[in-house]
Amino acid sequence: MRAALWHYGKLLLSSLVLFLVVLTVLFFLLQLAPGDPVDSLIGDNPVSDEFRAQVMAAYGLDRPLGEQYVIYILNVFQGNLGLSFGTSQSVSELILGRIGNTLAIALPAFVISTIGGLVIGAIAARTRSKLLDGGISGAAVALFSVPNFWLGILLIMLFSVTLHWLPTQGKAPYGQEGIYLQYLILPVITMASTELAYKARIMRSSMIEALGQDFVDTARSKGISRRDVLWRHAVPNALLPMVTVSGYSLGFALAGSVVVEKVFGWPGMGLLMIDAINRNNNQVVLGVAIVITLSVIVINILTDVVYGIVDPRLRARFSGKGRTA
Amino acid sequence: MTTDRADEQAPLLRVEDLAVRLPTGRREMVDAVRAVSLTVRRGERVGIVGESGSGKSVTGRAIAGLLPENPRVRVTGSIRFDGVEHVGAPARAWQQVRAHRVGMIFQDPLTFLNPTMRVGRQVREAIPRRRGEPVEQEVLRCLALAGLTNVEEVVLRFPHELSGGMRQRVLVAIAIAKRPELIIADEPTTALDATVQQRVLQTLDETVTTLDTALVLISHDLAVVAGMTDRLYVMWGGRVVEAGPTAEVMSHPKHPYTQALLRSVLSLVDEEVELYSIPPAFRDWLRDEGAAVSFIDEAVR
Amino acid sequence: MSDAAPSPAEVLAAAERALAAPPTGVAPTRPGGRRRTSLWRAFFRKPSTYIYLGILALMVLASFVGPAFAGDPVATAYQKLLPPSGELLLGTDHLGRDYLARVLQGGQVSLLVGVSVAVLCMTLGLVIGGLAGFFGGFADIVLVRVAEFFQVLPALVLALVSAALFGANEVVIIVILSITMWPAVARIVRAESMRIEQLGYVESARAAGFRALRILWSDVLPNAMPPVIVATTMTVGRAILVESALSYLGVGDSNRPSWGALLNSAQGYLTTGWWLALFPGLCIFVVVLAVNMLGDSLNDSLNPSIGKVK
Repeated sequence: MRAALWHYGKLLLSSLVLFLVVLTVLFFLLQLAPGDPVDSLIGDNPVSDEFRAQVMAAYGLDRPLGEQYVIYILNVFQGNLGLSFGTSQSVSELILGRIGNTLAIALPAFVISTIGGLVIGAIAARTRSKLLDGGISGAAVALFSVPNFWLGILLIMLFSVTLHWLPTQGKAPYGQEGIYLQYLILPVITMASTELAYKARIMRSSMIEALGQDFVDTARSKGISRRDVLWRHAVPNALLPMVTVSGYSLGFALAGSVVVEKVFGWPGMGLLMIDAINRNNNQVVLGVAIVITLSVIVINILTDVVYGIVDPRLRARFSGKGRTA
Repeated sequence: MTTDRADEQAPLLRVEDLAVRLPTGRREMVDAVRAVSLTVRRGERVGIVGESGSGKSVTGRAIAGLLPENPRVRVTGSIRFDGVEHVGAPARAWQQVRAHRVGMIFQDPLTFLNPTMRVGRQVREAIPRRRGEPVEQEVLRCLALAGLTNVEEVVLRFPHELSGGMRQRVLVAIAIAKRPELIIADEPTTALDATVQQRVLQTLDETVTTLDTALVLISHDLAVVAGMTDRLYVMWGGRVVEAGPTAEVMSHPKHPYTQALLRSVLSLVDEEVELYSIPPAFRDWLRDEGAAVSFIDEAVR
Repeated sequence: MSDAAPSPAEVLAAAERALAAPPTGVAPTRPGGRRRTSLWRAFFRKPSTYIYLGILALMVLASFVGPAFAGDPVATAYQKLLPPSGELLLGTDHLGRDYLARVLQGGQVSLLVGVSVAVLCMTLGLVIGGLAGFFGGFADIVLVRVAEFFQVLPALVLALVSAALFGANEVVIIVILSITMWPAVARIVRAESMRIEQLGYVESARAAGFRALRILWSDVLPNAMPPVIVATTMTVGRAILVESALSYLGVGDSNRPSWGALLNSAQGYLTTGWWLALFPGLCIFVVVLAVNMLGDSLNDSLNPSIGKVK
């Protein structure tokens, strides 16, 4: 048990440090930005001199750099990501309002790309038909090479504009609240596509490697059927690296959601960020960046935990079981 | 010895002119085994000795039906179990062989055991479905037969939780679980610590005796093979270069390669270096037959 | 062989390596040994190599030389939204500009960024990865931490933040992409230098008294090149994809719109001008596909896995 505490303690600590480093870098970038620091925060919005003075006081912009930094860090840890000057809403509120929408496409895309990648990769690895294997590998590379926003646009052109089966933009019919299923389909497919290709490739090579392992020979020597050898021995071992790969790719996909949201006008965090960039609303931009970073860090920690549970060699960490001589 | 029975019926295993070609890379093939013939009778213990690359492991795998599942692999010649030809037989026939007739013990227990599956389950898989006794009991019995103590606990463990010697015993248990007629042991002690090697060999000896199984012991280590086998095949370059009763081959080697092998073992003994892997009986034998040693040297010269 | 199970980071690195450079057992004989040249020769004998190189050469030529022969990409000389025809091969855009000329010009930024980023990544990766793998210590720690940093702050996000703060231009984009992508290359260099260090002749070179840096430069790095070259090739593809995503999002020079930016403008005209969205994206796809296939083919040639049996 102690080993587990030690390991996860270290993990949490290094994650914390990593987060602080990111915040620091972002802070410095903000400082390096040309122009008046207040302008960086307020952007193009016209404000009175009074308001300017208020902002300076609130952010301590008239205080030395070191103090500003501390204020900034403390703010973040308290969940205060600043104010959006366009609407005078707190950035955190804004983001919280939108994060659900982003998750609504990111999570299904994750599930689909993981399951799809596993299945397709496994098929490619175990088939004896060179044609099928080559075909799947080729399709994977092609899908992997397509810019996913272009794929999204093509899908819109096909299914919305030409066939009128699915809507083009947004998450619900005009004026309605909530998320409607037919609006969800194309964004999720677009988001899942690149990840699926990536995971299929990795699953395939993971399976081929697992099938080449020595213990597969032992399994064969027991006279069990080829199918049982595959499913009971090769697949479980091939899945282990996939846990890590999936976890890390989820983080990557969160970043990609920015693009997909633009394609479909999907009102999530990403679109918020893009609008903010165009309006020079830098607090929001930074806020979203911070939230994305935090999410990725949390996902990485979760991945580590899941991997520790799934791999029997690491489970010993928890139970304290060592070698029995 | 079961010599009478052996004269009446076909031997358990008869291999004639076996040749195996394996693919190595995009285009090339290698003749791993060129022309091997050997015979194993029921309950007999046979050794195959040779250096790396001599084709001894591939021969063992060919007999066990464990060559790579690659269509480019070519096997020619004859492998007969109880007189029934198996070269060119359908996959199902070989599956039967692997499931009931031949058990194989591999070299490195760390890589040859599935790291994500509990040991008990890996042994259980090797037991063919039988009516009668519950399988759990059988698993425990196999582990015990293989020389493991505390079997109830071991059953629940994962391979990485056991020591090297214990893991090798698990491999032994897996091989014997199907009550095979023939066990092929491919370098069963090479990956083990010196101190453990001796014990595992002993266990193997006892197990084979208890079950009255035939044994094909493959090793590069002449000392390992000498102490445990009735007959010996020496392989070099994919062929059998010498064959005969173990004692005979050891005392009167005819082929220069055998002689060289023997000499290297003996020279170590002569220099009074303790070769831990030589069973004590053999060491005594060597000492007693000291006179024969000088005879060999002269004959070679 | 150790019993310890690998950490998730190592597992991921191993999985990526399995794609990039499968375990080979190919021992380089010596720098510039015959084995290496014969592997390259095998690569250049493959007909597919020339197909991919041909496609890429075509795209480069079209982007940099083509505009001299095509029309003016800026002049709104024609009727708006004309579909492709014999005269105007790619039709016109929503402002009446010759779309062929625009698409050709669009390639310049994408290709330039892609290649520049890859070159920078390779350089940085070789230096720091080599130092990290060979000497360990400080360089190693830096590499691991920086790689971690860019994994949690993805390239796209950092680029967007920078664009918001500093404005967008090609140089900023190239710098940011290079900074975020070099750790991946460096990791491979590191793994390779560690592996090569284990082999015999490094020790003998040391024993002969050669300075460590000299060994790194003349012995280790040349033999580490094959997987590095594969990784660099893949980086070109990735860089082009991220760059086009960025320009699609509006980050980029509006005077020299890259393919992504063209797609951005095209989205308003999906019903009236399907060709506006089709061609720029097609170009990106073709280039990235050719690059990735080239990389895969390189990988197969330079890192043969002996007797890889399924």
